[in-house]
Amino acid sequence: MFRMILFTQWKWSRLTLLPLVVTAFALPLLSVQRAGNPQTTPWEARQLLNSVESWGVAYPVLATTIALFMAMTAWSADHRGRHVYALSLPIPRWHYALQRFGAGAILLGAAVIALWLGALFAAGTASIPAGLHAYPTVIAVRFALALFLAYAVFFAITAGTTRTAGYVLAIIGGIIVVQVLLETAGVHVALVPFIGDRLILWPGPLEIFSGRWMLIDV
Amino acid sequence: MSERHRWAVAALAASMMPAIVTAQDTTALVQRLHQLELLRHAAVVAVARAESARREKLDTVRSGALVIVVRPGEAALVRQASGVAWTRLDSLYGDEAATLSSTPMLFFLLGRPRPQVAHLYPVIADSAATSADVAFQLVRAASEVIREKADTLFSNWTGSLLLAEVPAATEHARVYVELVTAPSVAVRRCYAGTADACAAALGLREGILQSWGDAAERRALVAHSTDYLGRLRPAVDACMLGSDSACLDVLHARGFEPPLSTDARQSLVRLTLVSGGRRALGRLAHGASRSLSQRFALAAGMPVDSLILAWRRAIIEARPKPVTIAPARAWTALGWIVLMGLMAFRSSRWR
Repeated sequence: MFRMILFTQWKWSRLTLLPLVVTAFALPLLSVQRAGNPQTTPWEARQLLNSVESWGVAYPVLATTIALFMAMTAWSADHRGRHVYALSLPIPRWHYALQRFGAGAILLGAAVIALWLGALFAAGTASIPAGLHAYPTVIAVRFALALFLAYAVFFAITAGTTRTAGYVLAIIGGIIVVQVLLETAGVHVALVPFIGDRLILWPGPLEIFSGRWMLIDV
Repeated sequence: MSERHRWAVAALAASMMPAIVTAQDTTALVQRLHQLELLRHAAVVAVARAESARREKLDTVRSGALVIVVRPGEAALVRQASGVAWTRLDSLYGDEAATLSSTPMLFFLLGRPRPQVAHLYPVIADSAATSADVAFQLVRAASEVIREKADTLFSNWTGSLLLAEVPAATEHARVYVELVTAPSVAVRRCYAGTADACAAALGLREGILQSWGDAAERRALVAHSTDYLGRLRPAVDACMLGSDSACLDVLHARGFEPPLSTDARQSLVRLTLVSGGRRALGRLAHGASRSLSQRFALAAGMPVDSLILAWRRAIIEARPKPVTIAPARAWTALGWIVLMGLMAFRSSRWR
């Protein structure tokens, strides 16, 4: 049964997933375009690091995009069919959800491997100035963690009912509205930054997305 | 008093005269210079007031030693900014910032004609500038004024800005990148911990060209600057063929920058000011008879090697965090993945 779920998810997602996998392979190569001369001046080395750092924003964005797409694809057919197929199966719901989750996670593996190969290729072919180092495996591991985390979050949201998704949106919207009302009333309470910090600073759930994503660094 | 005693007293007085005259001269000269400086300041401000009264009404804003002539409509903005700027200048430059009182500034916004007042140092800000922007421009202009007052040896060494308004941590992280990437023997030895090499890389040693590195490095330096050679063409050719003395001739003739940039040099100045107290910049910027390394030692109140090693330590400690994943971060991320997965499996959709 798992093979069938995997196969159907592959069929539904391949047309979009393949370009994203190619993007994951190309991203590290694009980020080291400036690396050309091993005898660079410190100024050129700093420019190279700035260039690599500016490309670093693309890693979490790509991870989020792929995860969102895969999570939505995993459940879209069930939502359209009002879950009749799933309800007709002689297995508990958690078992079915686990198989959907697993099939999506395996397909995500292709993006991780593509990014790792791209990073290894970029690190091997670029002329990196003396004193700087490439971190292809570390960046691939970090990308994998960010990708699976984003996938788990979106999967949990899409697995729920429309009402659950509504609650999540209402909470986010409510926080923003409260912040705006407080500002209007002249009460300077940084509610959104406070919650944002709790989310992106350790041990918050989105901490893996923050910080510098550098394929080449000191 | 006998003729003999008179001669003895006269001889004694005569022998003491040079010392008395020298002491009086030095003290008197300092006092007179100070008075002259005050008079000059008063005269410059008076001239500015007279000119402004004749042509256009202007206000004078004062904050600490900052004197800024400004249009009345912009006075409130400048007044607010000048307080911030003065606090910053005072903490950056210590007592040397007080010398700004002798150089009044003329502030005006971009897009409006410059007020018709001569002899004032211009400070320009964008027409949409906030108080923070104006404060930034004031600090920048004041830093240039202080730099212009320093002697040429020091101002050339520090570069175009005396001290950039960059957080120390950012500046140190940039210098760290230089320390690990600069293609120079002196910089690599500095990174390894040799104070003498750091001094050479910062341009603090006499005969620095010889102390920078080897003949190959000097040849590479010449190879990088082969525009507009003119009469140096034969020397450059000889250098490229392996003559180190020809390389040295070219580099001396064309001028050269030390291997470590102005960022690195300014970070050393910053550390010296922190170590040496409020009068450190005065000792550093005005000491024409002393070499740069002697001035740094005097300004920081410690041997120059100790100062340079402290600087190196600060730079190494500011190493940018490389891309690594601490096990705690990885486990935390995995924990969140499992938690989110469990939430999906426990969903109430089918109940």
